[in-house]
Amino acid sequence: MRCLADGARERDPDAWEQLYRLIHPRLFAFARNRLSDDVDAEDVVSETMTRALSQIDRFRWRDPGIEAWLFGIGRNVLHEHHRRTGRTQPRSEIDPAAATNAPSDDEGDPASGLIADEEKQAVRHAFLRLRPEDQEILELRFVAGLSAEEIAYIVGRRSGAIRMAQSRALDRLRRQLGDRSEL
Amino acid sequence: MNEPRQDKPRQEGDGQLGEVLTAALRPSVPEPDPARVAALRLRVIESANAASASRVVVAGDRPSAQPRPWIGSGRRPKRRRWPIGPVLAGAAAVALAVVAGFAVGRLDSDGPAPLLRGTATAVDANAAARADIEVSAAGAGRQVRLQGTDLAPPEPGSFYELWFARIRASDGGLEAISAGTFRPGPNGSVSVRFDTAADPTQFQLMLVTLEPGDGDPLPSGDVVLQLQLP
Repeated sequence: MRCLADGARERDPDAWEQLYRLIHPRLFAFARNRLSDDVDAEDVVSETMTRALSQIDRFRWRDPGIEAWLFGIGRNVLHEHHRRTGRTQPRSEIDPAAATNAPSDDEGDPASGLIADEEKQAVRHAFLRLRPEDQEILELRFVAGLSAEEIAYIVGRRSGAIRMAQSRALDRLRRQLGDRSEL
Repeated sequence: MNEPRQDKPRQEGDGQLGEVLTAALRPSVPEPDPARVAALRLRVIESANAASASRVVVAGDRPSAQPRPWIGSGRRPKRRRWPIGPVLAGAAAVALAVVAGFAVGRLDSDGPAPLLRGTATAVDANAAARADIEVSAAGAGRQVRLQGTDLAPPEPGSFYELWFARIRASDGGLEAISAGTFRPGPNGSVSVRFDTAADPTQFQLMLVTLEPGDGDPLPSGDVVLQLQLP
């Protein structure tokens, strides 16, 4: 990964393409979950990489590495997008068309699939009742698939504090789910 | 479809709720848009050119590192515009201002004097496809000649298309103007000539895409060959 960062600093197009392909799945997923369509989410990824290119001379390697650095830029791009579009209120919904990636556990059983879909819907509703800070921690962890160390770098906190925040956010989500507390 | 990275083990305590949360929230992730990848590569090249303004660029020059493909295997989904991104018109202007020494020559002796000439090379480093491209003045317009070799036969209904491409100053998007379409012969070779009104000095790239024949007037196929213009 350090080689990739070195290549990026040297403005090697191959290194930048690799970085784009590396960051795209997670940053797109994170952005898409917070935006209304795929194009806006792709815009966030593109804008992130363009800003990264303009700032690469300022990048200094330190753990957890260049992916977290890129994701930190992406998070700022997303926040600016929200400010620009006037979305300052908490989200009231998650685009169900977007959140269809993971298949139900029992795809061969329509009844089981229905239950699984209901479960997901209930989780979405419960998630939206969480505080924005809890939502973001959980999205960074479970949508973007980032480690506690990466999240800590991105939000400027210690990894131990992130683990604690995640645990508390999950507890609050369980309470929101009420009788589905077996999760 | 790409999946968000799953190679990191769940932290202790994530439990079943974490898995359900992932299933409930995680969106489908498409392959990176090839046009956006191409636009990023172009910006990187422009940035490098701006950083070394004294370097002379010749058509067909590639960056010091051997490029990997510009374009992935995924097909760009239909969208309301070609790629986007913030404006880099400043960098583009610098890049255009510093380049010089564009190769001048001729594919052969029967055409008008060329305005420029270069060799478009495959974006797939493992592919042998290439095309010599020459743009010449022709009356009030220009004439583009392309001689390609080792081009894979297109699927029925699909075809190759030659484009002039550049970063749009207004919004940083990559825009392209078609020069013409063609299909190679059975041996992968082709020699075609197109009349065009496009001014090559106004573009940064020439691209050859493999188009699916979907009626989309914009590039919607994978880029096969690329030539950086001065």
